Amino acid sequence: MNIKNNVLKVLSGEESDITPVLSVTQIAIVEAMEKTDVYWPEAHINADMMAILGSSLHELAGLECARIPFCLTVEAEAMGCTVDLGSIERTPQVTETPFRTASDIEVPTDFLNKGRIPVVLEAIKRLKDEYGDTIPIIVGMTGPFTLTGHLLGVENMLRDMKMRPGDIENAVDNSLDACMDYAEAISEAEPDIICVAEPTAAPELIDPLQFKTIVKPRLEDLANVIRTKKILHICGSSQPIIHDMASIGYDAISVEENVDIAKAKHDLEKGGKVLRVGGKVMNMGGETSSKIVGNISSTQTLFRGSIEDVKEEVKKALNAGVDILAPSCGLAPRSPIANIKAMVDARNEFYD
Amino acid sequence: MKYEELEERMDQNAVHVRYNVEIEGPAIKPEDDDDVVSILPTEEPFKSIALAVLYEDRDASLKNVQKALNDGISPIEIINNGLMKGMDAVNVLYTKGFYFLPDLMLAGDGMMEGVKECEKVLGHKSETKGTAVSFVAEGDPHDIGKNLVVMFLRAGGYEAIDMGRDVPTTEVVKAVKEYKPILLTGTALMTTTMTVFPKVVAALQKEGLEVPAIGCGGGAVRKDFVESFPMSVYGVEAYHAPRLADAIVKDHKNWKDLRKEYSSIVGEFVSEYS
Repeated sequence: MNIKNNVLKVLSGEESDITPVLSVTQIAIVEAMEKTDVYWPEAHINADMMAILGSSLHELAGLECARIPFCLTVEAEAMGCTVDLGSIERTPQVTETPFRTASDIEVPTDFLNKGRIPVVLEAIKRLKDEYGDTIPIIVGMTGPFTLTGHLLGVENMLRDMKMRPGDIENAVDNSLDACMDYAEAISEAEPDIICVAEPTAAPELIDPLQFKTIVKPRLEDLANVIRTKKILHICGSSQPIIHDMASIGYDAISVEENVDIAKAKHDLEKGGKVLRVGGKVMNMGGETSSKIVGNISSTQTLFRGSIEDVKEEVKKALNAGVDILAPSCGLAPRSPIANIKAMVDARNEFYD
Repeated sequence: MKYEELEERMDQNAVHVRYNVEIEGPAIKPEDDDDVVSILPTEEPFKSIALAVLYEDRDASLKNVQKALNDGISPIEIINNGLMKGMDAVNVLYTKGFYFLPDLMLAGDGMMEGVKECEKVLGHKSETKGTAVSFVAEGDPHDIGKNLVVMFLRAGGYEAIDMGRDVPTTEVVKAVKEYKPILLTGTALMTTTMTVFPKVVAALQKEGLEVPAIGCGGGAVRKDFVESFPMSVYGVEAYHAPRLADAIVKDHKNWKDLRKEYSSIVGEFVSEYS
């Protein structure tokens, strides 16, 4: 079986014999850093190191992908924020932002040459040289709403969502320009999958109605410029917005363990092709296009659980009908390789 | 096809139902919700003070409180019977899924505006029920949760020491030594940073320090994880913090009791603890 084709087949909606197991979120863990002798924070700023660490869990645990980068601050840094690169077990974080109001946000002229964007683009090339035909190369990027949160401060943004929603819409539009430029640049480097992460748009933070009116249209615009396969990742209890997530036009949506996969699948199947006649809406059956990726708990199971716990949860997710097995969110850096391997093994045993 | 079959296959979210005002009555206002009705005070000036908080109106909240203070109403009563009731109502609507995090933050702003005004009159800091220390895990810049916890603790009559975000473990230990808090709260959003909590506990134990309870919570944090190390309690909602603190101060509960009696202490059904 060609791992890469299998994943692409699933994302295209074709039948597959075996459910892929990969990660669309942060993939670097300390144990793998020690084995590859490539460490954070250096791997954030060096394309060779990023490529090695991004493919480390494929080499060490059989995970069916390479995935870069390891944080959600690449765009914010290129926009002009100060970023603390963290340490061996701390992801980079935005520490300071030059932006105060929505109208301040402007994409710098040489945006694509700033910060770590060239590093990521270079790392994609390295990965393609090494793994181009064997495993899918997944590149993560920040969604426009989450990027706005980085630029304005999440707390300010949430307050203004209620007080000055118009301003926030403008701000998200400005961030969207940056996201679209970046998405085009990544597409040109031709990885297999782009995963847009939009954690700030989770129902824990904003009203699902505002997801529909403010975030969704921008994610749709972004999807239109992505020329690879595309996945949308939103953490949190995203059940209330799952319909909206699945109808944006991403090939798959990635959800965390709070989401009941079986229920989600059932709901989505009902929301298939819709016929509008004389103001009436009727369902014509059929599936929605978005597949579901998830949702092995990265905080409970993969980080702290035993191998048996992992296998149990994998079995549950497969039985619930998950289309692609993956951690529910970015891996905790202290997660053991053994648990990632158990995830792959459990999938293999399931199909034995 | 039978109608029942069709209905099962229909996406109910896509069905537009026309709202008949004549039959179903006007839209329900937040103060008309049954659970909110039972919380809100009925007599003035407390009613309008609570309503201003419920409507997330900072200016109105300030004006109402100032007027009540001028009329000679006791600031303690204004906080407990007005502002806090309004916030309780907000919490109810949040739990029920009608209000969202931004509502919680804005209503909190309105409440704190009033509380500050009352504190000016009280001129106190000495009469607080106890001291709590709040921090965000080292490496984690996400402090919305911590800010809410601090706000609720302060509104609940506690002195809450706000250590800010990305707080090194050594600083937390120092603060515990200095303030001897009745409650230490730690929050983390990310899987990468929540691992700090057991380290904080270990560092405290090494120094021979003890806190009645360490409330841990936030985005990626789960109950099982928090209960895997001692001295800690998994906090589900930010507004539970003052209720846990009350249990510690009044009933001398410690972290073991809090874990066992969480639901009854916070006075509501908590699915994580059921």
